[in-house]
Amino acid sequence: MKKHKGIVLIKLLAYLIGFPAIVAYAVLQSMPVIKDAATGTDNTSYFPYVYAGLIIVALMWLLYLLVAFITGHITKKRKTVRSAYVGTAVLAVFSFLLTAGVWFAIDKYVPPILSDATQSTIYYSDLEEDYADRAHTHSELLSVFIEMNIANNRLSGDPEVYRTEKYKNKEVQDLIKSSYNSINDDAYNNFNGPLINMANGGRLTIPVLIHLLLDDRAEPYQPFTNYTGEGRGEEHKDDPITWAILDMQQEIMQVELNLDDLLGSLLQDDMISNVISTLLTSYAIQGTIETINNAIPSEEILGAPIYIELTYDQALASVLIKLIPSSEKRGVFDYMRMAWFDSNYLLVAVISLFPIRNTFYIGSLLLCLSSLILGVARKKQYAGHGKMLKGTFSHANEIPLPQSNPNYGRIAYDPQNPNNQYSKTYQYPYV
Amino acid sequence: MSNNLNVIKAKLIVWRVLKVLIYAIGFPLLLHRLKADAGALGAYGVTAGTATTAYDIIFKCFLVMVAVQIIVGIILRKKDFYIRALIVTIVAVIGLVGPIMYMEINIKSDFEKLEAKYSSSDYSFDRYELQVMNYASKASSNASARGNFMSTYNLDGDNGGTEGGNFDKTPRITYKEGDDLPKIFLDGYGGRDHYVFGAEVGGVYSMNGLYADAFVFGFNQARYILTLYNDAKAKAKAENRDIDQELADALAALEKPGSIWTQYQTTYDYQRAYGDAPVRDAPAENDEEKITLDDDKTYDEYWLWAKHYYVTKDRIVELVNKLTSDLNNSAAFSELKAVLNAALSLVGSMLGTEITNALKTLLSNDLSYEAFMDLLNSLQLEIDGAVLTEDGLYELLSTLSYYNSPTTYPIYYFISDPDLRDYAYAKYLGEKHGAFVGSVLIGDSVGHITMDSSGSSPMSATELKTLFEKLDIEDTYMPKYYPWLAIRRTLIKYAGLVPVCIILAYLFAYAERRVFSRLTVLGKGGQK
Repeated sequence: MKKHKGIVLIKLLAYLIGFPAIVAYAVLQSMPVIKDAATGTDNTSYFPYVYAGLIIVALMWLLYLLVAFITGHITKKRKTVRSAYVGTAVLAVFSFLLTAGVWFAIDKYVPPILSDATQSTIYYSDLEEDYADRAHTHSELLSVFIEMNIANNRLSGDPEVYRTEKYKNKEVQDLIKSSYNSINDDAYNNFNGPLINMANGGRLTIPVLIHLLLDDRAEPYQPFTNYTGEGRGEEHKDDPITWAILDMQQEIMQVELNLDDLLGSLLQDDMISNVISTLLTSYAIQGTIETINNAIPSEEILGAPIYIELTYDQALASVLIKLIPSSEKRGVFDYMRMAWFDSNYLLVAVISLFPIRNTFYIGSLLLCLSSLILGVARKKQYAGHGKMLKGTFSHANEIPLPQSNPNYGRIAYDPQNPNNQYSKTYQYPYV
Repeated sequence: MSNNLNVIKAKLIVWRVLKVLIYAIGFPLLLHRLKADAGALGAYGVTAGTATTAYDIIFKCFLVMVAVQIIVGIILRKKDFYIRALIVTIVAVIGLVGPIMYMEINIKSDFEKLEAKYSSSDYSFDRYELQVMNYASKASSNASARGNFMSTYNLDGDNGGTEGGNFDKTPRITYKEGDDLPKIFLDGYGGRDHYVFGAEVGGVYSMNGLYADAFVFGFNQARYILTLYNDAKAKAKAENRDIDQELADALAALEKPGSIWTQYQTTYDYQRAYGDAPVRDAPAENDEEKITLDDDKTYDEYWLWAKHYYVTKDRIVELVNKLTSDLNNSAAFSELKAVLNAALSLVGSMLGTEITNALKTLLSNDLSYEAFMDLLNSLQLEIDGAVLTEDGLYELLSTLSYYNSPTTYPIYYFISDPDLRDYAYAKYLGEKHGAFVGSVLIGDSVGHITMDSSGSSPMSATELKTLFEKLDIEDTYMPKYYPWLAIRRTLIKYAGLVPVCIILAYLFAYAERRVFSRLTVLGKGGQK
């Protein structure tokens, strides 16, 4: 009985070093994705998507327990060494397929799907090891989006409610949807022909830029929810808006006019540079720029706002002309980040799978080991009760061999000489 | 007895392990060595991917040997181990010496023929012995020469590709000479057949036989265009002609009333694309306003209107007038004008009387499109030796926003001299189309010219000619012979390993069998 207790203990240990260890490690690894205490970012508002990885771990644990129970039950019932061996082998192979095997398949088939779904902006290899940083990025997108839209009043309720509820807040969810629809249909799909692909594909040539800025485009049609900026009153709150190419990339274009060439040594005189600086901040210039900025969104000019900013940089001795996109003011990201953001809940679910990737790969070793220990323990447990029959073939004690041909096929157990294995193995070869 | 049994068991294990071990380091080791020699063929260039050919050849030898081993094992079951080992070894030796013999006899003589063939060309074709030694560095030089050309001109693979659909949503057609001529191509005009530029190398085209709107040249197209362009220039120079002047004259003749080009401009196709009035303001809802371009596809006429896609004078006038009228109503701008006027008085002497007066006139009145044109006319700005006029300004702008409707032929199609026509196409594609897609082929700066990249220095006609000749010659022999040279290098050094391992493996198997038979005797209760 004492021996039996020891075996039960070993079995318990085997169960503990298997999946519970994997689960514990997976939870630990998943923490930065779910709630990163170090950086204070948090994806918990994406419930239940952010737990997708851990849900899968739990499901796999259940499957493992099921197979462990079935193989254990069969061994217990059959009481043969073979059934213990086969049960162990089945459990070990199943554990491997369940852990490493599943990830072999994911590693092979998911990368093209992921890069297709994100238009080659997120690659599988980016997530393999660097998932925590990616989770941080996607969590930040949500926080920044909420802050941008509290600032421009598109989220006009109690700011603290948005900040606490985040993605759980229906208003936030709707705003994400309408923002994405606008920049997707009225910008990405609204630029003519191949232009936007060329701009995004590193071929933003001067002709492409001129086409993007000045070509005729179809009328926008997606309502841009709650927006009253750019002089649009309440009556135009939900009307569609147009976008400029700068919004697609949310990049500030900067032209540097170096005054050294023009004024040379004159610039070294503080007074001269002060005059330039004062002139640039004067009402005459800043007011004129404001007039131009207000004119740009009209259909006759670009149809969409681009903000010009004129400053003087004394260190560079240059006048800086900046062209600033309207996207941040309007409360959206550039197209790529907006496309991620629109399906952020799905991306968060995908990202949540990666902390368990390495855990599963390494865990497959542990599970195979624990399966083996379990198998050994089972064999000992049932043999300890004197019930286990030895025999190379499982049905040895069930189907009697024809007496006329003792050399054929299965070899019966010889209770008189239980240790002479060689006689069995080599005298009567397998058929 | 039990001790004795354990010793025998141990021996059995030792022989078995040795047998497997020695078997495993024969061919597999050879394949491992080959990976280093064939891997030197590189992942890029004309020999890219041919390393697999080398592995295949050796792997097939291995498979043949295994098959022979199994067959010999079955047929000669009862025969001596030595006989079986001998047969398998002979097969392995034939399998390994065969390729070496093939190379020494056939490939060597092929190389001698090639050497003779290229002796008169600029390309220096190395002797067999040198090729055998230096195949890896030659393959890598091929890859880098090709790579350098590709990056200089910012090309997209061997055959190019499109970055998206045509502006007007008309279909893109992948076509190469020899394919069935797709029905969707235009039918020609005025008795001229339809013309597809560069059909012999192929590409992705629009209906008019020009490359599709966002087609980025690949190696083959860039080479075709550059060769055509450089050869035409060289030929004209040799004959003391100015081909660019000839082209300008031909285009000027086509622009004259009554020419085939001006007749073409009156056709429905041309008017639909470039006519003054758009058909409608928005895409059609019903089929009546769609036109059929192909058997079962219809396209909306709205999208075919080319004026959507380039900067017209109307567009500029509209833009400038809106901006100036807003500025004229701005108090801040009035103040700015006053400041500028005052500043002009200060620096006027530096600018000269004419310019100062012109600027003063501009600043004293309301701004408008006409006021800017007056300023332009009075400034007499010179660009490339010619005074910039209103028309000249639009000429400059049209270069930057050029658009040729995919549904109409370009003016070059109507040039009657086919050589001059091809030169015109090549020049247009290398300069304008290349500038659009960021893959400029002809100019002082070429390749990747974008908002944040200024391109590369062009390769000279001579450099290009040498490069293409080198690549042409190497394309014919390197992929065919180089995998064999890699095999040769491996086999000469390591082929001996295989028979030794086979023989040892059989010997160890024999030793194992001997121990094994003693074991069975003991098992039966026999004595030592």
